Amino acid sequence: MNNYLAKFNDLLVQLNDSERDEVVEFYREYLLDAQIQDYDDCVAELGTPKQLARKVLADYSIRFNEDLEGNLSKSQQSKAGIRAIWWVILALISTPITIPALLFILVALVVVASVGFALLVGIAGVLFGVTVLGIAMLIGGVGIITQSFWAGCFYLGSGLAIIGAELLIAPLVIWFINLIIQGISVLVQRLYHRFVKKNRAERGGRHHA
Amino acid sequence: MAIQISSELLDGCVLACLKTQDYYGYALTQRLQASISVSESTLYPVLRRLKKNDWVTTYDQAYQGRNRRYYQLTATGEAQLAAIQKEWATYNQAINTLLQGQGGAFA
Repeated sequence: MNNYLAKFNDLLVQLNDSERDEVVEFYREYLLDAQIQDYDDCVAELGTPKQLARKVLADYSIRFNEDLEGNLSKSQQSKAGIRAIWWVILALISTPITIPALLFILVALVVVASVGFALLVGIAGVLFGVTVLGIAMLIGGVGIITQSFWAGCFYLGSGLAIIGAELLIAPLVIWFINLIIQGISVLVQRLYHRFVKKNRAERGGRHHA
Repeated sequence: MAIQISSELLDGCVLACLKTQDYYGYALTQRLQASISVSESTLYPVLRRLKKNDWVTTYDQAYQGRNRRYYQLTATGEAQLAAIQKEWATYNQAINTLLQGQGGAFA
């Protein structure tokens, strides 16, 4: 049992000390009260240390995400979202599920990730292009202002207008990017809840008196 | 069990158990498992959430040379339990009506 808990403890490095101690103490007390001593019996009850740790961590991140919805800035939410996706993937990998289900999940994850990535790259490309255009117009305007004053003014004005418009819509774009990340996070979490198989203890059976 | 319990209902069940007496983790799991399908790996996050919301408090009591952490209902927890009981009564009635094919006023 101590061996089991030690392994479990080592896998919870992402939690801070007090959180980790609390989780491990909870399960230590549980196993003592359940009078489960053998390593194998612990595994039968709670899953392998790795499975239990992944489950705890995935749960932490997901709850964290739910709890803080609305209380956090968008960028913090995005970080929490990305972290949730990461833990869910790890939890999935460490969970024994049937190969077809695993394949389906992997394909779904790849598709979701690809679409999200494509959207992000597309937005970044458009922004970059528009910025370059604006700067080019500014430089061009300065270049020809001595030859043709009005044409120079036109280019300078257009360049400034483009860059100004970009700054105006920047918050909107950032909001949209965060929305995409949040959306993917929620999707991945749904997938997780839909497909993760439960261990014996969670299916509700009592196997140890 | 085919029907999954929602986290609000599970909160309510745990609070209701704690209203009758203080429990430690394993005893509470046993108490719940006597009636519904639930595990300690579900229960830990529930207890953590209840504690964070100040619906329960914990205290440690020595038992055979180690500590047992007991969970105790607070006043706000009791209010929360009453709220969940009320919600459930409404919901329960609505589902029963639907499941029994009654109340089709617009049919």
